Amino acid sequence: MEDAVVVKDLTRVFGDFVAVDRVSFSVKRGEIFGFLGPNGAGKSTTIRMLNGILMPTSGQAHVLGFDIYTQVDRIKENIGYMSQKFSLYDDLKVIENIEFYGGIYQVAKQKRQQRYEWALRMAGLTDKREAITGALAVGWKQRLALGCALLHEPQVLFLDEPTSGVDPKSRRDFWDLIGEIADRGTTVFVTTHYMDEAEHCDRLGLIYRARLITIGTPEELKYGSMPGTVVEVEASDPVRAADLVRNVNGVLEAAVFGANLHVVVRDKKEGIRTISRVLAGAAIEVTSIRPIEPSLEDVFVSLIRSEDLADENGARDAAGS
Amino acid sequence: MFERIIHIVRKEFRQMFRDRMMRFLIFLPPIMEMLVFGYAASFDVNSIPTAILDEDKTPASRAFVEEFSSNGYFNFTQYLSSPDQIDSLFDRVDVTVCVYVKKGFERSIGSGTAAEVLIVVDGTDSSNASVVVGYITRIVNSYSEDILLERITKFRGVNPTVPISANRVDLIERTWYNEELKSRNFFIPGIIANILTVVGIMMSAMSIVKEREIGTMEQIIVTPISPLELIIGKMIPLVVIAYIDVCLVTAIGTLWFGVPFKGSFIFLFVAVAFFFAANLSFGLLISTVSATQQQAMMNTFLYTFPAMLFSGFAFPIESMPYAIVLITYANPMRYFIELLRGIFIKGMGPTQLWPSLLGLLLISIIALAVSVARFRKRIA
Repeated sequence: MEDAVVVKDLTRVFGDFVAVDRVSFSVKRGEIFGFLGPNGAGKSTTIRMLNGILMPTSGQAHVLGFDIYTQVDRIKENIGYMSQKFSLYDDLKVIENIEFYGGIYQVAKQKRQQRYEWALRMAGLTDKREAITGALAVGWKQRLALGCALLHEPQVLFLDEPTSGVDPKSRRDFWDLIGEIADRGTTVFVTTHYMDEAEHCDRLGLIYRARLITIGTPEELKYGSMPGTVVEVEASDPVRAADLVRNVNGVLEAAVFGANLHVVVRDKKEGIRTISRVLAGAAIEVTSIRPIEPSLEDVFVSLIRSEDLADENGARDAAGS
Repeated sequence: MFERIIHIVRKEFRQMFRDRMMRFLIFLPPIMEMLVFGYAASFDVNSIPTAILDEDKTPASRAFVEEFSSNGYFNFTQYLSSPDQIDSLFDRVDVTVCVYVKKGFERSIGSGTAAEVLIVVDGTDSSNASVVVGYITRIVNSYSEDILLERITKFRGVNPTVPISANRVDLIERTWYNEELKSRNFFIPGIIANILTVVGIMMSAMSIVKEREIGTMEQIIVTPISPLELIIGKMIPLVVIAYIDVCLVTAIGTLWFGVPFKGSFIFLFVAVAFFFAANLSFGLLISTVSATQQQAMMNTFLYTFPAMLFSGFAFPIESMPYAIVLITYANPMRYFIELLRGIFIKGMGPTQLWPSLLGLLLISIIALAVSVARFRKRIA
């Protein structure tokens, strides 16, 4: 079956500012796709283009096979969207919000009652259907907004920073819900800047400064994008140590992480042996040296750094030529 | 399409009646304005506080003073004994008028020479003062005339019951349409224009801007609903409220305050539709330039004040400078005030008032075109 979302060279420019720069990726049906990146990287702009809120400057994209330029109406009927604002009417009752969204999505009459009850149950608000929405705690509002976005049983659910401002317990519950929704076959496209949330996703795309830097499963990113093993070295002079080990054969990369040194080596055992020898020879005291499992944060920080470095080099080359 | 619009309408009504501020905006302004213009604000001048200084103290002078008290406009609040007292009375704003009959009043009249009366009027409020001077002139003229007639009669030795023609032109005033010249009859229809401006512009702009402010606009754009459906759904409840307010003001105005209603209700409803269409377009336009509800409210006021001033609601357009008169042609309220007064007071219909309807129609079309273009751009 064809992919739920296919994006090719999608670009959006606001005046002089390039918010999204030639981004290409695709999202498979039924997966949880995480769109990760710092604030202002272009996550929301991308999601807004896929939902028909914003027109792209150039590039192509299809959602469920429908073109985002010409078939926006078909897309809108088949997607659900929830933003970080949990766009509910605070002055309406819980059930009135559900009725409103159910009405404008034109949920089939015979199904309506059952869907409304489902949304109430899912949000845990069955007893509070007559409560004024504005009086609910944030976690509840978030689940109610999710329920409203799912009333019409969309095939793709877009979530833009769905957990911002929500307490950790509600965030965990929320991700459990997302898992259940995906298990029933709904494709979930979610943006976040929380690294711990990225672990819940089937696949991840990292967007940084308007560009998609990498894409893959969390495992692929942790091991695949690191072409070796990460070794953490506690040394007396990490900066000088980094310079020394960088030139050693079998060392792919060395970077200072706080007071420690993270070295990527091709072979774990041999790498550790060589590093110890080189540093001992340079009279640098090593307190500990051990292989570690890279976190997604490690991966992204190193990717972002090399991206920045490439940018600087590019700028220097451009200035020199 | 209709089903989605109905859902928006239902939601709008629910929100409107749950919001205290909104309930307030719907029913309070009409009632408040009715009370203000029905009872308090008026250009009519009544019970003018008046001081009397009669130095002559003769039957003739008493008869002259009596002329002032008999018509109900003047209210004698002070009787003075010396002209020195006049200054301080005006300084303290105790009186608006002082009638000072000098010594020798009766003697002068008797001998056929001019009798002197000094009348002082406080001119601080110029429009008020000119009305007062008008009353005084009428009273003094009629008094002089009586004396003149008496003298002519005596002089000719004719029986006073036989009509005599004095050599003069008689000015008989007869005002058409608003016979009593009551400013209430003139203002209360204007209230409809005022209310419809608040409901049409402020409430429509605020209702759209509110959605943007709380983020629901974005959510709605992602649903299959179209901007047109959304706007129609938001406008229908306002139209309902507009007609409720029109009925309310018309009922209170005619039944309670006795304002005449000579025209047709159906034509009034048609005129309201034209004017309200212009207002809704302006509201939509304001919603495209306002980021917050407060801004929308301020922008509405920014529009409403000049619109009121240049509408003929209080100040006649005929007495405005030509450049301003030209501006009034772009003001929907100007046409609607013409329509309202034509319908209420003169009983006019579409055959006489079609130019005003046309003016409103043109303004609505232009404003709607501009705001729809801007509205789409705002969303994209």
